Amino acid sequence: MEKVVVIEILDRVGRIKERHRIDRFPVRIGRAYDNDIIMDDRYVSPHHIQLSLNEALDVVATDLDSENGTYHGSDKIHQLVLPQDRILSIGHSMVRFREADYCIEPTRIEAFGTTALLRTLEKPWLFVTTLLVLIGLELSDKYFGSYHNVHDGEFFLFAVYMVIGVAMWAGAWAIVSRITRHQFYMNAHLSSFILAMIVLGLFFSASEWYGYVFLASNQVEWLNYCALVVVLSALLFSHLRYCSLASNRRLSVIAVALAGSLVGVGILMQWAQNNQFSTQPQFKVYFKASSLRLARHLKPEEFFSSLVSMKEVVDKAALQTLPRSDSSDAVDD
Amino acid sequence: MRIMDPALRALLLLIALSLPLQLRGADTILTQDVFERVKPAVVQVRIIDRQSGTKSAIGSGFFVSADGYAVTNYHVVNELISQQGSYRAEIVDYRENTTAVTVVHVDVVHDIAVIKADKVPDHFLQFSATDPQQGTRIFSLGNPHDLGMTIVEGTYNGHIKNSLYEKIHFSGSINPGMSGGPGVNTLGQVIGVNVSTAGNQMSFLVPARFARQRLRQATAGTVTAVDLADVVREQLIDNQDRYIAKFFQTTLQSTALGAFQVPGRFSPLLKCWGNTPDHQQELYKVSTKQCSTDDYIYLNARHYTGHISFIHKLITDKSLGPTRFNSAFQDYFHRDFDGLASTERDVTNFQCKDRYVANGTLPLRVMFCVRGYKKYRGLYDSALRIASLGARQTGLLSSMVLTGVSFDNAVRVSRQYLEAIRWKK
Repeated sequence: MEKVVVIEILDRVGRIKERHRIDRFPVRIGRAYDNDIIMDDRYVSPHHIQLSLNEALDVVATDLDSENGTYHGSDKIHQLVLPQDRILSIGHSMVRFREADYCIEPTRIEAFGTTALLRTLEKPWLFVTTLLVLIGLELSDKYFGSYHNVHDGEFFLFAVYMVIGVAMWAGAWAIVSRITRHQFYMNAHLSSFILAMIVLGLFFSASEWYGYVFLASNQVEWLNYCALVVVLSALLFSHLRYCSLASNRRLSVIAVALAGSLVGVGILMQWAQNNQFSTQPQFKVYFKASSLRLARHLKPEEFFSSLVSMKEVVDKAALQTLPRSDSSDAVDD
Repeated sequence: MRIMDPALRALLLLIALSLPLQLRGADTILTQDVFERVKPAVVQVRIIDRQSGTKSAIGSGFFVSADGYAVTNYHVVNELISQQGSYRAEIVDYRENTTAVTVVHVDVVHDIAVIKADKVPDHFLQFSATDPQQGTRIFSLGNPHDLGMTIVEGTYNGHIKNSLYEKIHFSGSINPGMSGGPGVNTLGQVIGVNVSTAGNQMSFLVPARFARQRLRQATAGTVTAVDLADVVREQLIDNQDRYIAKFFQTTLQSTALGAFQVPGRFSPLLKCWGNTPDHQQELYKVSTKQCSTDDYIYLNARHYTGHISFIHKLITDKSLGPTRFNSAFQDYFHRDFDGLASTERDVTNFQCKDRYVANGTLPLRVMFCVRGYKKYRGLYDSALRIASLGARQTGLLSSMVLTGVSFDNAVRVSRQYLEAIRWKK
């Protein structure tokens, strides 16, 4: 009688190691070379189990007096009618069968754009052009941010260090890709990192302008943190995409969680630093070469009458318990 | 012409020769005499850390009454008031007898403390009723560096000019450890109390009347506050009201700086400096004008208060261009303020408010920062920073620091200061 099944050998955690298409019964499984299916698991007996068909064409598994036995769940079995998909444990492996008409899940459709984007990332021209743009942006930022005489040599060195930095970062990821996916994907890692740097740099500049125009220095920091989470998530997603075969959804969750916690730690550290005692006022404000200021200009009396609320804050801080005084050094007065 | 009698000649010669000798002798005798007379009333003041039992500070002092009242500096005994319970004080007299003392009154502004010992002193000093003439020889006694009782001769040079807190200029060497010792005239009467030195024989005494006033209050029992820290606090508050009123009565006298009018030396109590270093290779130029009061009030070794300072910086572009000029301007805006040294025990962190303000037609960025005193409630330090906006080739940065003022005074004075900054007419 004809019945075609596929026997699957799984490792101890359930990953499929082998598939065998079977159209002839009985099938003997074990380590010995005279079996129909030869297993390399050292805990499996030379002749471990046999699968055969009964009159109703059900698959029947029979233990061939193996040393370590055959288990269905936690029950040791000698003979069992085995429905499709049911798993038997033998040695450190598992065995199951599926019929040839086994119903598989529908084909997954690639999310729109992702593949196209990832393919573009792999193009060499992309990282070359973006690297040039990044160097240009960073150098002009360095030039316009300084107000002393600058030397060409300094700029050249800066560009070299930047290229080395980018290469090291992308290289580290490429090595991971090589290990996990047997390919370096260097172009993709380079382009991802460079693009992320460009986007962040442009965003930081824009937020400084926003801080100046709307007199919102305090918001600049938070805008930058938000941008950092978004860009870092995208960057990590892209790197991980080339290092893993997990689903996009899973990788994005990992990337966002990782980026979020990294930035979160950064924020906490900044907060701890801001809360330390300083004899100097701590602030960060922005000036731009523009008369475009959309925040209202107060009259002096308006400004000074608005200061009253600060008194409360300071008085509250002054009420906090004084730190224990440490004995000062001996002094002649 | 008759030849002089040889005997008379010999006598005249003898007198002439002995004259300087005699004078020098009289000098030495006078100093010795003053020292002997004053010494029994002068003591060393020791501040003892209760935990370790060793001295944490030393100074000098002198008895001013038969019932054991003595005078020293506030800065010698301040730990007994600012860190109550951690320290005790004792005095050691010229016969090496040690007696415990308590602080009964203070004048934090003029750096005076009245202490009381439970014993009858061998001798006590009288206060001089009058000020000596400039150039009079006076003496200062004390125990410099714990080396033993010392007398220093010097010259009375009047009260120092343009000082917020009155002091006598004594041309003589006061050294650490002599603080709180007496400055006396040839009669051994107290003219002042040793307080500080600027080195090179430039020393300062607190005029005796401040000590006498606090002594009178202490003996009359008018020091009602249980806690001397409250007395200190009240004195600081009264003092700042007094000196702020003195400084900022009218509109501030202003001076031109580049395209701007800025507050100038609006009080003779301010000392001002200015410079414009112009280095060929620099791409911009900074002109600086700064003024400050010279005097501080000592609160503890790491915290001084009661002074005013302000600084204007006019930054002019030479070859930066607008974007880089703004980078310079932004960087200068973030530079440290002067005169804010203190510790976490004394003050809170600064709180700041930053706004665009239009003073008439001049657009400004104004940042007002304030911090509070932890031990002396109601006192604040304020730091004001003002930047001109909209000028491309040039920018003004002006900062003012007020220490130890009430919140209202900080705001009022800062406003007056800001309103004095405008376009040059």
